[in-house]
Amino acid sequence: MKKIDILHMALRNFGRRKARSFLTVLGVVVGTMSVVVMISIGQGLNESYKEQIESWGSLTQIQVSGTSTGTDIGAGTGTSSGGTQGDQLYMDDNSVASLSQIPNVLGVMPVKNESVSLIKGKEIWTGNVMGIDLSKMALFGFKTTKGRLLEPTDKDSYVMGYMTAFSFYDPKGNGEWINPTDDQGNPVPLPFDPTTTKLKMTFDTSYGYEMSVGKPKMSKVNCVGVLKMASDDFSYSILMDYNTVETLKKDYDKTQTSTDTNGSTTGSTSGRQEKSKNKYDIFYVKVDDVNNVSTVQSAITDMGFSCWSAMDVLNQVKEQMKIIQFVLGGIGAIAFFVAAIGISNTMVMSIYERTREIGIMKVLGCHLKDIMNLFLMEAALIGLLGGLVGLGLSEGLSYLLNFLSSSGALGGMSIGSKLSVIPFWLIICGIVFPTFMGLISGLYPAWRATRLSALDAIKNE
Amino acid sequence: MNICILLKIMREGSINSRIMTKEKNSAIIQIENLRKVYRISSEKIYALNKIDLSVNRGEICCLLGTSGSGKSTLLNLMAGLEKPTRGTINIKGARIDLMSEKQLAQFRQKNFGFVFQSYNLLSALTALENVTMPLVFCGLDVKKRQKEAKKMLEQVGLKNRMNHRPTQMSGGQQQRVAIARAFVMHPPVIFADEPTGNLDSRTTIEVMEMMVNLVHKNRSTLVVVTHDLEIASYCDRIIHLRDGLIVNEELKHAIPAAYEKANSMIIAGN
Repeated sequence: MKKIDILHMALRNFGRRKARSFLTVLGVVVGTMSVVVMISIGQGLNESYKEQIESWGSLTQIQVSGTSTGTDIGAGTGTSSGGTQGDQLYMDDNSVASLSQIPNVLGVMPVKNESVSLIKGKEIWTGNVMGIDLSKMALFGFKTTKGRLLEPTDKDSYVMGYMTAFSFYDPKGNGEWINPTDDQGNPVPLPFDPTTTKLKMTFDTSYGYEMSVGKPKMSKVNCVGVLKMASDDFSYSILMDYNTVETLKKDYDKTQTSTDTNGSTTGSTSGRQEKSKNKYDIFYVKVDDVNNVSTVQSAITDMGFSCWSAMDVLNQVKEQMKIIQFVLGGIGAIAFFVAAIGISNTMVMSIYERTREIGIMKVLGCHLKDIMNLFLMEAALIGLLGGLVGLGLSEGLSYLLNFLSSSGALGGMSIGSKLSVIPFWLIICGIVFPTFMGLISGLYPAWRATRLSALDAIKNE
Repeated sequence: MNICILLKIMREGSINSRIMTKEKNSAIIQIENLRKVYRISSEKIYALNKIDLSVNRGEICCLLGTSGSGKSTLLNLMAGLEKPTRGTINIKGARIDLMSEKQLAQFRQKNFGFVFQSYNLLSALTALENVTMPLVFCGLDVKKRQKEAKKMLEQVGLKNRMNHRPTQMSGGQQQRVAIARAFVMHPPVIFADEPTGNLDSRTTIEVMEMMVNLVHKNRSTLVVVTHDLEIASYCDRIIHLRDGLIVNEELKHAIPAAYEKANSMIIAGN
């Protein structure tokens, strides 16, 4: 018997019992939908977490926050192993050089943090100025939403983090807060243009507050650009050339020690001395590929640094996501299993009903293999059709879920931009798996059909 | 169709050599010492016992007997629908009783045609589709099988009933469809189990004459099971069965010499 004839016969039988075929297919549709939608929600969660974590900083970026042998300066959750190196490690240029030697490291950007205030009329922002190596800036893929990035010649300029632009407020007035993102998490226009607005900068972080004493020295710098929205450290800071920060800070300290001998300043001076060997506060290490981050990270840890990367969190989240996906998929799989039983049941019923027909086919010399294939084909068709329809409906449902979650109708359920994501492999699985399941469910009934006695079948009147 | 016959011969050649035995000249069916025992609880019932029978090529052979005489059982055993308890059945030099289900399916497809009392047409299919069935199983392509089936339906006088379903046809018409289906592969052996049991006397004559005609035309051999003496009158030889035994064999009329000659030519051709 030709394959095309088997297919033709299977289709005819499928269409003969419309109501029953429909109900069986419906079972597969529900089963496929439950699996696909459940997995798609798992995928959606996965992707939105990834999105969120990536916004904390690129995944190929490692943050070295200090030496595990010395003072742990950073607030990182880095793993620290007891440094067994003979030489004491410091956050200095030697360390930058040795970190740059690690394979797969594209570059190391040392950062020195200082506290500053920016003054815009009555509004003040207080935060970090990050003294960076301007030559490494390009490596870290900074992008501006306004203005331009710093060039190596920009000695007296700075670039403002996106969040910083939203963090100015009047300490004496009723601070009105502008949300830097809209409901969907998209950036909103900047409240003012820092590249054209006149801004003053001082290292006196108490400026503008009640306890402020005297008139602090203002540093002469100007803003050339604003970074694109992100949730990393840079976004909440301003970036400037390392040497400029050092010079300006020294200038400021001179004026402070000459006019003021208050305890707070001496405290900070002693802190300075302690840190003296640590020239920098943080190193940002850029790795060439996401897959190499873990190896580089452990190499850094082995050298005696404590470090952290977004990959740490991502890996943890991934582990949890696996469990969540497994549970969600399991719930769907139950519906799927029930659908498989439905197919088996339908096929067994169909065989009872068609006992005579099968008997006649046998008497007419139809090969057992063909009878087997015929029933397997019918079962696989039910699976295939159920899979296709189920997949189509799942796409629709996924679209609806995303629409509802983005419009906020589902409350706080969505974390990222999409609640449900159907990747390509899930589409393929959504077609192949139900078909295969149909085939498996059809095995027993098909075997039963071949075992029917032709004689008993035709006697049955 | 000639290619089909050639293929048939080649395939049969491949059937287990154990099954192949030497064919006696004119006998197409040879049965020796056949016994079929049914067990009902602890009781043994001899449906057939000590049956020795041979049917010649081109012969129309009638198994006559009352119900329970074992005539249908004998037909089923010959057609390989049941296995004998003891004895040998030799059809066209092949041992039917030793064949596996798979081999039987193949053998039936190429060598047997069936006509039943209850027609046994597939009710979901049209007359034409029903007749096409054996050709579909044989793996013939669409054009050829449509042509063959149409030709066959024309021969049984159902040219304008081709696209009717069995439920839209009278008993006589249904049986004619079944006859067309039985002959469409031009099998050497046709088995008919009470072919006119559900038909009135006029249609009975029609159907029987048609069958006899086709058997002669195709140089087939026909084995008819019946309890009706009128049917038996169409046959060359009548075998009386009672309680599982052959009680009498009568030759109605000698096989015409022309058929003998034609048959020997086929054998030579093979």
